[in-house]
Amino acid sequence: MSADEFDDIGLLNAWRDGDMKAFDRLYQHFRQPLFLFLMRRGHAQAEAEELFQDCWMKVINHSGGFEGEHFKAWLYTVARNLSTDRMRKHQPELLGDNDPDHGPVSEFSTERVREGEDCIELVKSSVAGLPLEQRDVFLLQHEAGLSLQQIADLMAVGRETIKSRLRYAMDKLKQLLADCL
Amino acid sequence: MNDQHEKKLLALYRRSRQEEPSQLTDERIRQAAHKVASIRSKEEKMPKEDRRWLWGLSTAAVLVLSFSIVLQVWMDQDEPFAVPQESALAPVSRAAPDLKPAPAPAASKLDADDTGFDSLSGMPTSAAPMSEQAVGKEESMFEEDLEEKAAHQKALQKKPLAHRIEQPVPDSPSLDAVIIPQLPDTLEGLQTMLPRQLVVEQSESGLIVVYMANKLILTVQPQAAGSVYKAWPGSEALGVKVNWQLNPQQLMACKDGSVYLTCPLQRNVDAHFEGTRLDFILWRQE
Repeated sequence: MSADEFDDIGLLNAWRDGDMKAFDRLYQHFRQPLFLFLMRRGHAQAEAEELFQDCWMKVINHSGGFEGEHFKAWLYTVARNLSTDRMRKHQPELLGDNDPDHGPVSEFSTERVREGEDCIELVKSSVAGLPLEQRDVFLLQHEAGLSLQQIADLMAVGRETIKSRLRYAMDKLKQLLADCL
Repeated sequence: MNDQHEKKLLALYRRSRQEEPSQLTDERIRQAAHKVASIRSKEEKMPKEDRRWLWGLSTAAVLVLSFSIVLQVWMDQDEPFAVPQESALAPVSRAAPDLKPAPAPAASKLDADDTGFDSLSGMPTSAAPMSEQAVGKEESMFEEDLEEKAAHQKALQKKPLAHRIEQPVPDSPSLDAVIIPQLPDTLEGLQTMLPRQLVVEQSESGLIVVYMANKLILTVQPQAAGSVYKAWPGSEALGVKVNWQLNPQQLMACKDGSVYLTCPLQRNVDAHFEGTRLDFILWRQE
């Protein structure tokens, strides 16, 4: 079964009806991508665990209020809101003040690659270095697997804005990781 | 070339996906989910014996309730027949010309043979002899009683309804529950309906502002396309019911503006948050 065919609503409904295995399958499916979304968004491991747990608790306790068709989009909306709220309260610097719709920054440093830093570590730090809105778009597409339209709805901006943010993010990452590609 | 780089970049990103939540976190989440699921499961999988017992109990309850309602309706309908015991029966009653109203049927000296009515139920007996004149009078009084009764019931029906409107609206279990009353969009209209302790003013621009103890609780911007209302805490005095503890995380499709985070609550109703605090709600009344 492909990711697109994954019947999250069916599993959610089955769990609501008391089927514990359905929840296990649902949880297993979203477990790592959701956790990585929170980590790559800028939270440290312990904080990401806490937010991850809060997010699932919200799903468990408020799933009765979910009547939509896109559980995945709802799940990531909850996670993103929790994360943003945490950043506002405790780490406002993570929210940043850089323009999310601005083009590539030419002075992105690649020194660490030249110094021999592992490309895997560099890709993590490069994603973390993107402006938050670009990072969100990149993660929501490549980690969460949401469509451009779903991301646009989730972030309450136009589809074209999402496309350009994604393009800027990719350009920056390519620039930064040039020595690894 | 560009596509190649993009593919390599995404492959590199996928290789970086190593972190996972701890087993302890997994365990906590699963436990919470299983707890909820087991509660629901228990409700579903109640033993058949218990269900039979429940069925029996609920059937008995329905029967008792139905019988009570039927009895009540039947007794209400009987009242017009009971009234003649006190007055209208006097001319046809041979045995008790000075009869006084009897508080209880057991204390009544009326007898079915004498009056043509059963003293317990007030129903006419089949063997009771009544003159045509008496029957005609009886019918007209019966009709008058019915009319009076209908008027009385109408008044009674009005009373509880009015009472119900004045009652505070009970708390809704829903997190985003909001109740918006139909409010006038003119100064005069608001002045007429608002409680005395509220102050209503209208600015030169037409904006109507409602204060309670110098605290702003409502503004109305009259517009032809549909007046725009904004309500703050305290607007409960106007019948606006909002859960002011709402958090934007509990809502979907929120839009981040320059000052407020706006989340839709219902059709034409938005919640405006300052940070995570619900500042006011805005709706358009068509």
